Amino acid sequence: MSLIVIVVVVTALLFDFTNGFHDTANAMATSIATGALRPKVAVVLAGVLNLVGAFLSVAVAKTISSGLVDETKITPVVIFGGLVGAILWNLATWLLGLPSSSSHALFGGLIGATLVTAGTGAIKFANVVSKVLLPLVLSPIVAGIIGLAATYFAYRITTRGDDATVQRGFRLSQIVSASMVALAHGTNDAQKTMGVITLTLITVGALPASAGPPFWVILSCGLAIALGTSLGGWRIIQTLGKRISEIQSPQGFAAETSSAAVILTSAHLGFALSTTQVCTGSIFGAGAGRRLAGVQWGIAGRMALAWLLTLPAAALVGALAARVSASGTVGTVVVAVVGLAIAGAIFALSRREPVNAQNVNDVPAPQPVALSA
Amino acid sequence: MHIAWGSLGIVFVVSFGAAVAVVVLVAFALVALSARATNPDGPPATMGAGAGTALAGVCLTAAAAIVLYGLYIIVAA
Repeated sequence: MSLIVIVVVVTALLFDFTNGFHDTANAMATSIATGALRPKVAVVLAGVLNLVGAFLSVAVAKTISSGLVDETKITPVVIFGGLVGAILWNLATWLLGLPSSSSHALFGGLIGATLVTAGTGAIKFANVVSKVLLPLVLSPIVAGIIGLAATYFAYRITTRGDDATVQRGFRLSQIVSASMVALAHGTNDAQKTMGVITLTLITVGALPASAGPPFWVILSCGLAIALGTSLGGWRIIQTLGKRISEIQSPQGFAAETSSAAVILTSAHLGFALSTTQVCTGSIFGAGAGRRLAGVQWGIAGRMALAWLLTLPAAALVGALAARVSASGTVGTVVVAVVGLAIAGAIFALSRREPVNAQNVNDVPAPQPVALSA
Repeated sequence: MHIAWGSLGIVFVVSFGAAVAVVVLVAFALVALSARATNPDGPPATMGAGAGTALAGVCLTAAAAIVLYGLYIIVAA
């Protein structure tokens, strides 16, 4: 097996790891914010469910780029460049505490890497609009409306109930709803990396065409995403659980139930929506369902900007990484070393203001925007 | 560019129905449990202990059925 293949496998597992800790928040942010689960318990539960999810489904996506680029033009160098772009963007958004789609980062990286190695002809721009841009806009809207309605009903119905019973009941229910989101995430996202590794092995002839992922690929991908998830991307958990709105347990349950419902139906009825954007939309909807003015819409603006930048930013890094590593073994090593150095710098920056299991919920309650009249 | 508005519509309607149904069922179950007034600080009992528990049980079973169907979708995929 050549060096580039080994490098791609390792890089893919690193991407899987960042995918995991970036997305812990999707399932667990509101459960941690409402105290339904203790922070450490929540992330470990999410990690275990991601691992289980990785083994549940064998329907591995046969395309890693979902038809965004001409897959016959994809080489190990392209995949390597794409993964480097995706990992660095995931780390940068994590530092800023912004949820962003790991799939979009991967697509962006692959598009950039393909552009420099195979030219614009290999990019299917129409698919970029229908598979990235459209879900990006529609996911938060669909999930937001559903989360808003579910939250409205949750509060409307339980006004007649005893407050302590209601809060406790919703908190217990949140454990189930959060678990569903984590499981659905595991089946989808761990498979993405399995597909990347399997296709790399096929392109170099280590596996026959149309082969499924070998067991070691399934196991290592499941473990990588589970490990990432159970370390907890505390910065993003804090943003989603505490900075959007002061989330109470009925809202947390409504948001998670909406996310799980939208993720499962969209995956099965053929209109793929983006997990991160669905979960974020549900939380905004749930925040607005209780009190419109209690939502920090400024945060929404920053997130929207990060979402729009995800693909082009990852593409830029992916292009650069592919360009350099296409020059040969030395280039590949240079990209790996520079990539690790940047990752290390981002990690060092994060230590200045660490967010962890102890202080994840220590955010002053968002000040509602003063409404005139 | 082709947008599959039809499948988007179905996704919206089905997820809306499933999510709201689960949340409403759990909410009703909690109101039924509250109505048994086991909490001395809570509102007075409006329902017998047996009736409240039974109603909550029915609601939670229905919600669990929807959740199990979701689980089935994940596993069978």
